[in-house]
Amino acid sequence: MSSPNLVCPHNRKLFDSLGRQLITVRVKDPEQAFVAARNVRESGNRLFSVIVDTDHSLEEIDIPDDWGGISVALFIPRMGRFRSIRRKLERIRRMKIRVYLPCDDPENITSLQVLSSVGVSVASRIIQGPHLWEPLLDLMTFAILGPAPHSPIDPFVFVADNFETGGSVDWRGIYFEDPKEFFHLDDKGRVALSHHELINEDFIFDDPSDIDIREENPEYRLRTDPRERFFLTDHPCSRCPGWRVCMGAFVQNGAPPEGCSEFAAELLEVVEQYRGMRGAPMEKRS
Amino acid sequence: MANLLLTTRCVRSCPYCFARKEMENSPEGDTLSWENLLYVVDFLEASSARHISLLGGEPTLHPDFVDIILYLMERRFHVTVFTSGIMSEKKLEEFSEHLTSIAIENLNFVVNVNNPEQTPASEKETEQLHKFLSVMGPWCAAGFNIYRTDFEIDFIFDLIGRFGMKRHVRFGLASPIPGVDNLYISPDDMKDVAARLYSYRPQFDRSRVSPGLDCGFPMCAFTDEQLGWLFRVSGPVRFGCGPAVDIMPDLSIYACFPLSTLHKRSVLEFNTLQEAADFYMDLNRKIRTELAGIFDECDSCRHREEGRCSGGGVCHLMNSFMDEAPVRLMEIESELAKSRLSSQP
Repeated sequence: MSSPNLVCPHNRKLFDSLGRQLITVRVKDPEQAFVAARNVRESGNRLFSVIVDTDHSLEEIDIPDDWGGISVALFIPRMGRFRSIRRKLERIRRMKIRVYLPCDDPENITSLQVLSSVGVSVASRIIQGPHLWEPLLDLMTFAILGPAPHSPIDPFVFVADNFETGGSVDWRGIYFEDPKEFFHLDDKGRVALSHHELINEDFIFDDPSDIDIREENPEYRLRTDPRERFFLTDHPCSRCPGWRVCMGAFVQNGAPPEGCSEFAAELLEVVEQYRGMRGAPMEKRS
Repeated sequence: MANLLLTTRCVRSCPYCFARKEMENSPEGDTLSWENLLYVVDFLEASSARHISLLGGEPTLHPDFVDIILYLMERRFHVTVFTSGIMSEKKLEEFSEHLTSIAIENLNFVVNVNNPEQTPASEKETEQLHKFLSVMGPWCAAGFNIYRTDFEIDFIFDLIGRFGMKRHVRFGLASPIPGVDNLYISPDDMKDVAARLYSYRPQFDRSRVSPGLDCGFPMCAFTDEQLGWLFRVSGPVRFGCGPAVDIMPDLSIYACFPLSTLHKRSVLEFNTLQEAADFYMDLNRKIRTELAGIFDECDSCRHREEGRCSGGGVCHLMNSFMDEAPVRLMEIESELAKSRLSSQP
């Protein structure tokens, strides 16, 4: 069982109450990132990352110097014009920043390619819909099989690098959404298993200390054990040809969205092609 | 080297335009998408090509032109833009704000200028060109397309001095488009063109400006004296004929405008730029086995055999077939259509 990563709002009292935990802190204002990181550290906790979840485009926000010592997940709605971000690129590349863009707009999918091609680590916020599967397939091919070296576009490169034939790969951690590892807290310390559930106040635990005994909670087990969640319930995902590179990541409100199965199957095919090209071991290591 | 067409739209209608047929056949307002730009840039990088030429139509009409240039700089490409220099005040402000900080070694404009008397333009166009040169002059070399033997180029020396342009002029020959009635320099007129160009030697020497020859000039159009001068001021001159690989906004690909309708392919069919260039080189060779060059003497010419001269442009060869042996041309085209890609078994 991996040590839990607590995704918290920027709340010093909450940090103080946790003590010696691994924390990811979520802020809306980019200028608050450094202060939030400092507060986590000063409270005796360990900082994993800062999520900057802003409504502003990359064009509109400044990348402050004080982000230099922290790992930043920059969630933005769009990139903006290239001319306006060009001068920020050197700083972004130098720092530990990954840029996340939604995938509900073809322009964003192109922006992911642009940023990746100029050396910025990026991720498509593929867990949330609506999904544009065709452009996402193009993005996946660009990310995994593109002829020129680029920075990673996740989750595709993560899947390609971590998948082994016969095994499976869970990439939700890229989005801080893997319930085996990430726990989303509100200001009162109540715990949800995803950001979406946190927003909807759908909590699984009322107190962070319950995380230590999470395995005793049947609902938690159901959420984290794919066998229980998908196979014993005869969920449609259990019959999906792309299961091993998806593991139900797209499921929202209990059901997979239309088109995800074909997408995952294609992803699996491309990943296997990539692994074959690289001469990677095709059998799962024991 | 690859030429990438950003848009098929143009602001001018030059009488000699050899791109017109291709542009007219393209979807209206066809502009390169970012997706296709990324594909081409990756394709070139994978081909170890670090130089790209941007063409049109008028490439600066692309709504993201400035962003594209900045992107290519970020990808560490050397860029040459072939432009008329005619653009709106707003666009020019964008140039001034974003492009003037780019090193001259990395960004180069070839400004296609027409003689204002022989190829008249509106006052507004001339004014726009001058405004462009006043901002971007140091990044610019003049380009001049020769479509008549009595061409006059005094005005170019004037522009170079006035706007601090590069001391080099790129001379192109207006080329025939097989099957189209456009203005071009016929093989019989090429010696006159060479002599006319040489008549400007005093101005070239006095202004310390060097002439450069685009493809299609045959070596024998120049006398020994003219050649000696050319080699002295411009270094080794290549009397070649492509194939320059032109990539359209929709990723279709061909080797040079005048031949664009004859053997169009897609860049998606090739793994590298070299593979595409080899494919078109092979086609050019097939054509030249039918007709070695634009003159009868080309057949036994030592300079052609030794690769110093291509024997004029393939477009002329295809054009003469069109006029004199249309049935044979159809046969050649039919053979070309069957040509397989070099990478295919």
